[in-house]
Amino acid sequence: MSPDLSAPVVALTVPCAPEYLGLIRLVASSVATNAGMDVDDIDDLRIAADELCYLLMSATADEQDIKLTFTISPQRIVIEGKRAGWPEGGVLPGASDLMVKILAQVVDDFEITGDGGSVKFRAVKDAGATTGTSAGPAV
Amino acid sequence: MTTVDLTFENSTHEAWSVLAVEGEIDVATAAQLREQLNTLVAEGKHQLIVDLNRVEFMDSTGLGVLVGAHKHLVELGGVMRVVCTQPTILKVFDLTGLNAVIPLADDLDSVLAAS
Repeated sequence: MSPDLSAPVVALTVPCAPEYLGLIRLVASSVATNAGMDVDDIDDLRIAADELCYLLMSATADEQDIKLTFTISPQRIVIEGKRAGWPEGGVLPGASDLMVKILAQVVDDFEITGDGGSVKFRAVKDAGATTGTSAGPAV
Repeated sequence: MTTVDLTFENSTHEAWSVLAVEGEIDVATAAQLREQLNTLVAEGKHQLIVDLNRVEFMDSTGLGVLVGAHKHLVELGGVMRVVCTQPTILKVFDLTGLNAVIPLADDLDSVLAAS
């Protein structure tokens, strides 16, 4: 699917440190609230942003910042995160069983990939959608 | 560097040791919870209630700490109960199926009444 270039995008750069997960959750909540999502979906997006950013933080990569974008479409938010300085062909950060179980149910699709010298994630959250449809991470 | 802290309150109710936690449990703070639980178990407190009613967020890291403590206590012949009515926290127990592993209760009184 080609990206919707007219969709509003919220961009955030945060230091690669767990202390900033609270800030990431706050932004995720605010973006979901502004997008008109309900309390359940807001919670889901907050949880997904936390888990996925923690995965990026645990990656072996040189760059000490994480670049996040929240792309807001009607009834849908796409979160993308990227950390540069990842060695091509390197090991992707592994999600724990608990993390995979949670992510598979709070977002409609997600993947973790590495290419072009970056480790990245992409997750899609549809408002009010039935959860549990994700095929899981590409790890 | 920003510091993030959890707040803990210890009390005893009948045979139970209660650890009430306040704050957000994630990878930045989960080690604090682990340390508190390990200390209580090392002190021989093997009937443990973890009160999460003042916890505003918990991710898989926090869940992992609770699962680890629960397993350890069971190995020692002890028990652990979690007290929580916060929908956000109950949701992560539900999503992972851990509500079937670690017994949950609405409040302290219901744990005490059932014991």
